[in-house]
Amino acid sequence: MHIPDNYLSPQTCAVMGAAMLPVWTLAVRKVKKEVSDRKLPLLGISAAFSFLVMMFNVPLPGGTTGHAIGATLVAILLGPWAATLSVSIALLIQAVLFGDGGILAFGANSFNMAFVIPFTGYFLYRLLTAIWKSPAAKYPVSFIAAYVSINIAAFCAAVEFGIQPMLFRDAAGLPIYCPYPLSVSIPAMLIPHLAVAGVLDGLITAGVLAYVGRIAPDAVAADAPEKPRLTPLYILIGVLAVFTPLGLIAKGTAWGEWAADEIKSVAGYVPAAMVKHSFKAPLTDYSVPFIRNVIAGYAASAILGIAALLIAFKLLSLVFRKPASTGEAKEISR
Amino acid sequence: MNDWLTRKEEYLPRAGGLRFLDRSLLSILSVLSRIRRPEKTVGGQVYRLNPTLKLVTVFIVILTLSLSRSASFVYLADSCILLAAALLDAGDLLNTLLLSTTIALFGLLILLPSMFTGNGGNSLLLLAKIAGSALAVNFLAHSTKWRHMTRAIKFFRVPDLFILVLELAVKYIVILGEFSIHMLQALRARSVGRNTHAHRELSNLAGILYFKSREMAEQTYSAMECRGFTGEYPSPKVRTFSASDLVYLGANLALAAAFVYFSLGKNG
Repeated sequence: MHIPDNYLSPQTCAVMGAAMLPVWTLAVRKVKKEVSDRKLPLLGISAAFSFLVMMFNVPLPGGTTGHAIGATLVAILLGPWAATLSVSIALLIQAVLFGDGGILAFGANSFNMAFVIPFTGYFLYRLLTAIWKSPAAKYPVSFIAAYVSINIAAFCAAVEFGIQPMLFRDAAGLPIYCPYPLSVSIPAMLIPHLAVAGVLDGLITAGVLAYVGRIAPDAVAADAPEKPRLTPLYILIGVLAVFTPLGLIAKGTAWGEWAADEIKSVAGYVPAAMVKHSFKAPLTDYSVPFIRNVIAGYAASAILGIAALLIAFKLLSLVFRKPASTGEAKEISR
Repeated sequence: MNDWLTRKEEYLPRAGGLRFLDRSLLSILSVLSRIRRPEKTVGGQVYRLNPTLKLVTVFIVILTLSLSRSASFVYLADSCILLAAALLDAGDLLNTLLLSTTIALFGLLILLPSMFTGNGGNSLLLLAKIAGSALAVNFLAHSTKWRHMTRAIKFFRVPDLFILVLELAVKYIVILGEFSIHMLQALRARSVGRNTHAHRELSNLAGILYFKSREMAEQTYSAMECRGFTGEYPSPKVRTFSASDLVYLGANLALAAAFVYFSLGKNG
C-alpha cells in the first residue's frame, strides 16, 4: 500500500500532507500529555518495532510470502495517537532511507497507514470488546479490527488513485497521473486486501495480542479502562465530510439512493408507495438553494448537516441524562 | 543390533517450508546493512556533499519532476540524476540501479494497460518521472549517512521531539533488528523440514519483540536521565560550502532554470 511518487499529483500530495499536519501536531501534543517523560523513548522504540513488524515475512498459500502492516496492532498495544506517530516515523524511514513509498506521497501514505488504520482499528477494537465482553472474544475482535481497518485504508488509497484521472488531464483529455478511474482502482486495491493482506494483518494482530495477553495482560493500552470520548467521533465526521464530495463527482447514483425516475428506468415502474410519500428535503442534492457555487453550496450543506446532528445529539443527551448528577448535588447541599 | 540402526536414513526436507524464515532474515539483514554502512573515507565527492543541500535539492528535483508536463525537462532531469548516481561507488551504484529499475518495472506493469488504451505518451512520461524520482531518492539514501540526514532535518526547524523519536527509531531498528535475527535464527535451527506452526511462531516472535522494546524504552529513559539528556538537540554548527558543493548547487540551479524554461514557458 506504499504509494510511490508520481502516481498521485503533487496537488493531491499537498492536500494529504496538509491534512496530516494537524493530526501530527495533535498527536505530539496528546502523546506529550498522556505519555509521561519516562515513556518518551517508548515512542521511538515503538517506531522501530512497527518498522520491524513490517519486515517479518509470513507464509502465504502457494509458497509465496507477504508482510503485515501491523498498524492496528501498534494502536491496540500503545493507543492510537502513539501509533500514528510511530507508524509515520517508520514510513518516513522507509521513504527516505529505502525509497519504499514516495517522498511527496509521504502525507498520503501516512494518512492511509498511520492515521486511518490505527484509528479505525483501535476504535473498532474498543467498540467490539465493549459489546462482546468475554475475554476470549478479544482475539476474533482484534482480527476483525485489523481486517476491516486495512481494507478501509486500501479503499482510501484506491480513492486517492481513482480521483487522479478525474482531476488531472492534459489538453487532449488524457490523464497525466494515475490513469485508472475509481471503477478500476477500487477493485484493484480492494480485492487483494480483502482476500490476502487483510487476513494476514488480522492473523498477526490476533496472534501477537494472544501472546502478549498470555504473558502480561496489563500491557495492552486498548484494554485499559477509560471513559468514552467523543473526539474520535468528531474526527470521523470531519473525515466523512471531506470525503463525501467524491460522491458528487461520481456520475451514477449510490446503490439504493435512486430517485423515482431512476427507479422507473431500472425497474420499469415506480412503486405506488413512493409516488404517495414523496418527501421534499430542505437541502435537495446537498446544496443550499441561495448559494450558486457548487463547492460553496456543498460546504455549507455539510456544515449545516454536522451542526444539525450535533444539536440533535446534544438535545437528546439532555433528555436521556442520568439523574445521578442531581443526586450528588443534593447530597453535597445537605 | 536393532533393525532401525542399520536402515539407511532417507530424510529429504520439503522445499519451501522455511522460506518465510529465510526471507524475514534476509529483509532484516538488508535493512541493517543499509543503516550500518561504514563511513566512507575514500568514496567519491558525492559522499562528501553537504547533506542539507543534498536533501533540499533532491526534494526540489522530485517536486519539479512531478509538476512538469514537459518531456524535454523530464528526460533532461532523468539524465542529470543518472549522471549524479554514476558518481557513486560501484557497489552503491549497483544497488541504486537495481532498486530504481525494480520500481520502474513495477510502474511499467501497472501502466501497460493504460499504454495500450491510447494513453501511451502520458504513460511513458509518467514512467520516466517514476524512474527519475526513484533514482533521486536512492542516490540520496546511498550517498548520505543516516546521522547526517537527521542533522539535515534539524536545519528545517523540525521539533526536537520528532528528531528524538526518529533518531531512537533508527538506532533501535538496528538493536531490535539484531535481536530479531537471533530469534529467527534460533527458530530456524529448531525447525526441521516443514514448519506447521509458522503463523503462531511469528506472532510469538513479534510479541517477544514488543516486550523487549518496552524493556529497552525503560532502560533508555534511565540512561537519558543518568546523562542529563532532556531530548534537546543543539543546532548543528554552520558548515561551509566546499568547491564540489558549489558545483552541485550550480548544476541544480541550471536544472531549476530548465524547469522554468521548459515547463512554465511552454517550450517543452
